[in-house]
Amino acid sequence: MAVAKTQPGGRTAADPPSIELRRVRKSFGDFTAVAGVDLTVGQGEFLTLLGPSGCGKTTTLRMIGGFELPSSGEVLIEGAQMGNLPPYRRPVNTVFQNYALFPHLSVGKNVAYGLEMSGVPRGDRERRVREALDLVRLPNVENRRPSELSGGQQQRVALARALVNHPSVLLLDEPLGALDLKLRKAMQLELKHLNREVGATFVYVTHDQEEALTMSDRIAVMNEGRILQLGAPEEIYERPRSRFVADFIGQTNFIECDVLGPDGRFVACRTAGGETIRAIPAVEAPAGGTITVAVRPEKVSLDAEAPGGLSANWNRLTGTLTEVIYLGTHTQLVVALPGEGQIVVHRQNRMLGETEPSTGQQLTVAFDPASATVLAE
Amino acid sequence: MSNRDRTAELMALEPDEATQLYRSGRFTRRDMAKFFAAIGLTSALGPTLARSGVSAADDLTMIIWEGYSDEKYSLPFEEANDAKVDATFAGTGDEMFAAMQGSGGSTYDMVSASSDLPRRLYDADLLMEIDPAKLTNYNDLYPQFQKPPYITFEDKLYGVNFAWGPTIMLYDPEQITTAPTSWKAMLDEANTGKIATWNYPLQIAQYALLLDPKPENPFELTDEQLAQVKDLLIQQRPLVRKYWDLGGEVAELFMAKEIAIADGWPYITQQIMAESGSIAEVSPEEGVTGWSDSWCISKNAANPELALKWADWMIGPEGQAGIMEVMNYSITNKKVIETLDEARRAALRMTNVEEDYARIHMWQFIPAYDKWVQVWQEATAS
Amino acid sequence: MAAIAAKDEQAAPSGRKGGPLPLLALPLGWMLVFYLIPLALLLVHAFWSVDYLTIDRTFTLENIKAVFTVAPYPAVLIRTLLMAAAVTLTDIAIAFPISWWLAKKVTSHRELLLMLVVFPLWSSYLVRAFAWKTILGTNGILNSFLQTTGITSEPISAFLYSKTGMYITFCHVWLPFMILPLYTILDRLPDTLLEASGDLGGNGWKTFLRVILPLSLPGLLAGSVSVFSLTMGDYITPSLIGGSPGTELIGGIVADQFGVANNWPLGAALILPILAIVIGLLLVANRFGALGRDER
Repeated sequence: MAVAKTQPGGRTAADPPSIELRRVRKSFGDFTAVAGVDLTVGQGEFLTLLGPSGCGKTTTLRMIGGFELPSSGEVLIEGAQMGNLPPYRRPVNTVFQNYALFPHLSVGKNVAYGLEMSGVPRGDRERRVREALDLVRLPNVENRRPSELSGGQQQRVALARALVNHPSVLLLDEPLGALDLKLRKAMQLELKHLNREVGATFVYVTHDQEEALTMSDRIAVMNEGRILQLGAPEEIYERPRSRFVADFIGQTNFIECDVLGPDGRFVACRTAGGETIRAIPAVEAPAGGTITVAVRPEKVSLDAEAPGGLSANWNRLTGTLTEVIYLGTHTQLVVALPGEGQIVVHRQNRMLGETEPSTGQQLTVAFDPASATVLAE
Repeated sequence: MSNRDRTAELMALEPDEATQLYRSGRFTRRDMAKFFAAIGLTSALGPTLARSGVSAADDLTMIIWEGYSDEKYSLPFEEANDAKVDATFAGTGDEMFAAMQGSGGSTYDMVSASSDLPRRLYDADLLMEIDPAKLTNYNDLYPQFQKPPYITFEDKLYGVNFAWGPTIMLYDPEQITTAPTSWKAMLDEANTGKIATWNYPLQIAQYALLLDPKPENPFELTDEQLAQVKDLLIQQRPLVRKYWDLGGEVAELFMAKEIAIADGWPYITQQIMAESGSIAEVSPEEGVTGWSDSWCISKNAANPELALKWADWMIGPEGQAGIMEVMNYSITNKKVIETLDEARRAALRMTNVEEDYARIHMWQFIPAYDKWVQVWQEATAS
Repeated sequence: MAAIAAKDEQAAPSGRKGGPLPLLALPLGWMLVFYLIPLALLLVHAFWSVDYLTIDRTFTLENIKAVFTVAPYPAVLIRTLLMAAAVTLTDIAIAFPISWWLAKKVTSHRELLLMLVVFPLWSSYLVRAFAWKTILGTNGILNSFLQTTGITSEPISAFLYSKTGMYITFCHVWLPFMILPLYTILDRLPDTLLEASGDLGGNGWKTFLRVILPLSLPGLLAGSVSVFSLTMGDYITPSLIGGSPGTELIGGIVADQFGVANNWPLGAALILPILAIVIGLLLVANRFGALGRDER
């Protein structure tokens, strides 16, 4: 098994990509799990494959690891074609969803497994096992059995077992799913730090969009076997290109309206209520027809609370307040718009005792056209 | 009427008979319950019940040499006496003894004991005394078969002697073209892998006939003679294809051409010839051992009267004719023998019964039988 | 608060009042009366001797000594042990691929295939042994096949009435008893463990040695105990398929002592080493979890 030495600190532009997927497809009988994926992952990058169950993210991960072979297309790691190489010949290690620790071996032997397989002598093995366990902050458990450890501890052993081999690529298949919220959040940060410290490329699979936003350098949003959008977290969040992406990550307001025409770098359109709004087109400005404008609720304010002069060019919509939902950090205000639409406002609860508007009130809301996107489809 | 008889009566009914009786009020609910329980029980335990003496119809249980319950003579008996003959085959007299002793004589009503066996059964107190007056055919027997020493103890009769014969040498003329004349053929290397011999310690006597000097009585051997026979057996071992247990096996082996030569009995020849197999008999020059079989009745037999009837039947004209025809054995009923023609009598070794009989070394009771068992096992099993 | 919680945990142990004993009383009692006590009565004969027709009840170790010193018993014991070991190892080798294929590779009709494995057990053992007699004979199916295909030019008589024939027959008739426990444990083996081993650099063979074999040990041992004990005690196959010199196994000798030689003491004495070996095997198997794990 070829072990590439990785440099802590990350990538340079001149290095070959860590992982490349070219037109990769995978079908199981009639069912197509992955319908053509192209992906390039840089050295040391933390890339997350994000999507709902059945979107093909795990299958894609498994094809990188060699647990499935593509029906067509190519997988390259460090510039080398993987072809139909089995997992034990790839410079990849995996952290499995249910950890897959060997129940009949002690923690120490579990972690040392990969080192034994590649013939590392005993003294070195022991040292490296200790280092790996220290790295994941789980010292002195070498002689325990996996069954004696808690879920969080087992997960760290699985991590150590993978990392001890200094792989160039680490694959993680929803490893935090079984942990409680607090532990999960702590582990997310730890994983991010490990990625920087160890310098290996991390490919992470999850359906939890918050997790993805927290840890990733880039996110690939997948649905129905395809990558719908690939980009840094802010880009995915602020500039979703499709309804699915906008809907899957965070909350979004969708406003249907008829195109009026371009307006500088914006597109102007008219809502069902007769009001005109402007938004940034994600791709080419459409010439006519109906479009959907997406804007995040936290970008929408009550007109009365919009920042004075700055909001002069903001879009304004008027409707009736139908619901007020208190959510601790913010309050959700649902405003019904003429026609069938509605718009949701997230109003941050900065001060105690602020007066709430009451339902039934007529309200005007405002938002910056620069934070509104015209969806590609 | 005892409970057991009532149950027996119930079990003899057909299900719809029982239902009718119930409907007409002549059966109580308890009777019906008993009836169904009985059916259920008998179907599951039928054979076991029969064994332990709770019989359905009149059952006659016996442990016998193969062939002694052939339909030729058992069917007419069953019909005439409204009984059922339930036979188990044993491969050796030892098996018969163990079976009789193991159950205290209650499992089997009768046993077809060869001349070596009844003494042991008598000593174990397993035999019922037989009153010759109850046997209608008794006086037709040759005198030497009426009260022979092997079934007479303290001047009382304990068996009904009905058949006798030799253990001869059988061979397949298609495989062995020159007729062998000596028991030495069973130790001949030319016949390697084609020999079968009976797996029975008593056979030591047969091989003792090969000793030089030949012992007077091959059943009374000194320790030294025993050791010599052991050597012969050890010599024979690598040549033997199979040590056989039941006569039927020998027939199978010959038919399948697995063997070419074996020791056996005339009825085996009959079987093979009935299947158009190739077989011939030889009475080797050193002499033969043989057996004289008697029907003995268990002291704890469930059906002693029926057992006596069977013994009587088997020494009667039909039984004796059946034995000759099916088994090709020699018989004991003088009247029947005298009706046969010369050729037949010669074929069955009965031209002169006293002389022909005397020529066979009949199996005897052996006091030091353990030693024989030990020698046989050591020679054949290790 | 924590102290109270801890005390609650102590007061409610798993299991009902009095433990499992009341439930087990009836079957245990049945076992005691109809199995253990008769067995003990039988085995005590080993310390007695037979005197012509009666059992002499004076305590003696002669019979037990005889088992280990008098021919042919030691030789037959060893022969039986070797045969049992050979059959067990062969069945492991045959059953492993089959159980593996059933547990890991078969996707449809698995129940049907399992039924096919169990199917032969529905017929009488005697019938199957007899079938082998027909197959292995000098003019049997096997020899016909070999001669027709030209592999041999003459029939081989060594297949029947020989240890070879017995070995083949044993391997076949006991195979389901090895396949089933092995299948059960392999079925429970998580596939992810195999993937993890591969991920960490283990090829097929290394994964087998380091992961599959250790984790399937309980099933292997359970099957082995079955096959070994069944062979140790069998007397039917030696009588049908054996029967030539040097093929007698201890089961047949014991049966002879009880059924033919009427020497119960010697028969009981012969049983003792067999019983000791089988119990020893069971203890080993238990140590490795073959007989079920303690649930906590």
